[in-house]
Amino acid sequence: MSSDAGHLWAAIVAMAASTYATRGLPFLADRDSRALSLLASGAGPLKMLGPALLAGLAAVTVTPSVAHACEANRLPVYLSALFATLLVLRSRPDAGLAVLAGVAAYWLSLTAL
Amino acid sequence: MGRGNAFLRSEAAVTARLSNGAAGLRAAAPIAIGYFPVAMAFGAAAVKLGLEPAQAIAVSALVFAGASQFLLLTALASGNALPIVVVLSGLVNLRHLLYGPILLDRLPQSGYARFLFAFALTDEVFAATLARRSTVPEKFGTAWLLGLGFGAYASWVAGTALGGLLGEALERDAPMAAEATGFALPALFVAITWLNLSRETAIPMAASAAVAAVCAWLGYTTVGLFAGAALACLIHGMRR
Repeated sequence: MSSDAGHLWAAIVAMAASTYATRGLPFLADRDSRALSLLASGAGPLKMLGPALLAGLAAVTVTPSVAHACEANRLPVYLSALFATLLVLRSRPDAGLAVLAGVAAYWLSLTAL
Repeated sequence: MGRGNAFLRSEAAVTARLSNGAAGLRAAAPIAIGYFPVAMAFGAAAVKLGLEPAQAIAVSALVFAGASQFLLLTALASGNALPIVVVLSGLVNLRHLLYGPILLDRLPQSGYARFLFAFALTDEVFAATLARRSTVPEKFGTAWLLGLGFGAYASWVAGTALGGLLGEALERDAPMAAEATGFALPALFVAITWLNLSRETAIPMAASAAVAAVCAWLGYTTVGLFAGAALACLIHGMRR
């Protein structure tokens, strides 16, 4: 196994462990613990940290892909796909369906151009 | 006679468990339908970025967290350091800490059931469990929870496998369709972000996105993510 592959696997295992820890650790806590009550009430910075990071991740994913679409003369294609994604999300809160609609719109626009 | 009654009771218990498990699988159907295309896009994108199909499947089987997995792909594509991706993934997943405590009073006492269910406690599985909490007054059965979790997990892993195995063929035989699957990553993040929007979160999230976008444009992606999140938490704290 190359060093790069080793690092990749270490990162994957660490991500798996931290994901499982955030899902499973609350089940280990004492039912009357203050930390558990605080988490269950959804108070504190934790409540905003997740959505804020997701918004940031969306921004850092979309920004370079928009730049790439501009360079490749694909901006109308990209925008039509983005519009289709948002249109589905407005009518139905289903991430899978929205992604499917966006990819389909991208492909259709690409074929039409 | 006593032995016959015991046999009937145990048979009834097995039937009830199977029926609860099937109900859990049925409850997972909408999640599975949503997961499958996203998982396919992940599998195809992972192979396109140089992972073996088996590696892509292993990532889905071990991590089972869409945002973290696509984060890994963005790191592979952009050359970001893997330790930073691990930290970011941990921070993104912090929201999962909220799910267990909210459901705790309705989960079975059995430790193994809780810890197996915890593995599948994604955003969508949490939402389905929460929806059932408002309609069913008693504790959730172990079989129902495991059926729900397994349905979602199986769809995710199967979708990744199909995407990973067909991704290369798609690239070769249908390059336009392959290019279109590349849109799945921005679409997924836009969708997850949209689904987290509310009156309370809109302004902090917009601030976080704006800071992150400007920093990403300037080439400081990681700084932008942390600075945006810090600003969002600050704004949230000031508005409370």
